[in-house]
Amino acid sequence: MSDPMNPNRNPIEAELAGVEAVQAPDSLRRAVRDAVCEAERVPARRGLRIPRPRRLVLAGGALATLVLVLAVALGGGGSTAPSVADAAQVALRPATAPAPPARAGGHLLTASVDGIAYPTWTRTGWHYVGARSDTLAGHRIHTVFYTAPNGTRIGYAIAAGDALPLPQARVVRRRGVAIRVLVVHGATVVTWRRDGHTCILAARGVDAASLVRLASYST
Amino acid sequence: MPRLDPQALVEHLDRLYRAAWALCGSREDAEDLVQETASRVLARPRQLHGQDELAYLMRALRNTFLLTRRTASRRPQVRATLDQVDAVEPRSTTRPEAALAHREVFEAIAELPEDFRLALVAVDVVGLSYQEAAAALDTREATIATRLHRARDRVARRLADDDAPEPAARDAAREGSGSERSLR
Repeated sequence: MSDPMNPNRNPIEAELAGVEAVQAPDSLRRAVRDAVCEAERVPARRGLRIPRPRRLVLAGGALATLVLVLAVALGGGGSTAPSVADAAQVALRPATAPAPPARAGGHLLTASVDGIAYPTWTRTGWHYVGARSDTLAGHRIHTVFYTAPNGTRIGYAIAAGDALPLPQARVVRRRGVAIRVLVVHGATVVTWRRDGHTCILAARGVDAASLVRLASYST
Repeated sequence: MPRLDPQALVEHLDRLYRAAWALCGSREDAEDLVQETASRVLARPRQLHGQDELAYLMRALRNTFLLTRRTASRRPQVRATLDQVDAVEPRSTTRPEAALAHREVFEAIAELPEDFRLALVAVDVVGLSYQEAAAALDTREATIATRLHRARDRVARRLADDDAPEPAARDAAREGSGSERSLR
């Protein structure tokens, strides 16, 4: 649909102008901001070593205290915990560290979060292959990755500290434990609580029943 | 040599997301692509080599798109059986008709051949100049101009032809009457 009177005119100008209103979803914005903050953390700490005038430090401290007080007073102390969906997206990212070794006995890995150890799952056909650690809104999320011989991958994330809010999802019970099954941006996710912590399995190309079965081994 | 400020990822996030949606054709894949790109870019300090930050990020997005798509094509896929599984965080919009229009535009772009798609995304979606797009996509400005012209025409035709007759019937009609509206 080029304009014969003006061959340089963009024939889809109006349509492209329309899509300029499309914004990134909040979950993606949060994930990217967290990743950027994480990447900037080391340079920011270096910056604190630069000597500053004492009164500036004091003024900064007072300002920070004021902001904190206002935030608590105005914010009503609302939870800033990440959602299970946020944490599941971390479990879908690539590994950044080698897999932890297995403990003697072969059923558990040496890696653990607040006393909850990761399984080896070797008898199920899955093999532990890597790990990563992230921080989402102050919650440390540690993930161990497992792969099947066909290349599919599962991320097993455990959130340190308080449990994350329960998501709206289908609930199945295995061994008395409520396992919630949901879909997050096309990925299958199951989550359950163990010892007050949130545990999450997230994968693409793995059916929900398989994840529930693996989760039931880990409750 | 100037380095990429990681905050550029936050600043240009909306553009990158739109570009990723146009490249992938789906919102979910677009989110994955942007996250993967951010993860790669942030893995170590990046030097801009004279490029604008947005051009650098477009190049990173394109490289990640090509790499992840090739990796995915090599990986055997097990089809998920997600019967009776609830979706979390259903998206809602106060303007569903606008959302539908956006999706159609992105889907039309995503159906373009890869080279055309990348040129259109770099110039029309991200907003790079022909020179910047050529550098980001490792090609010449003249090539960008040609691909862009053809890409725009194809997208325009796709968006206009939703209710039009099949191509064979349309060609026959064009030959017969000679009065059909030009879509070029």
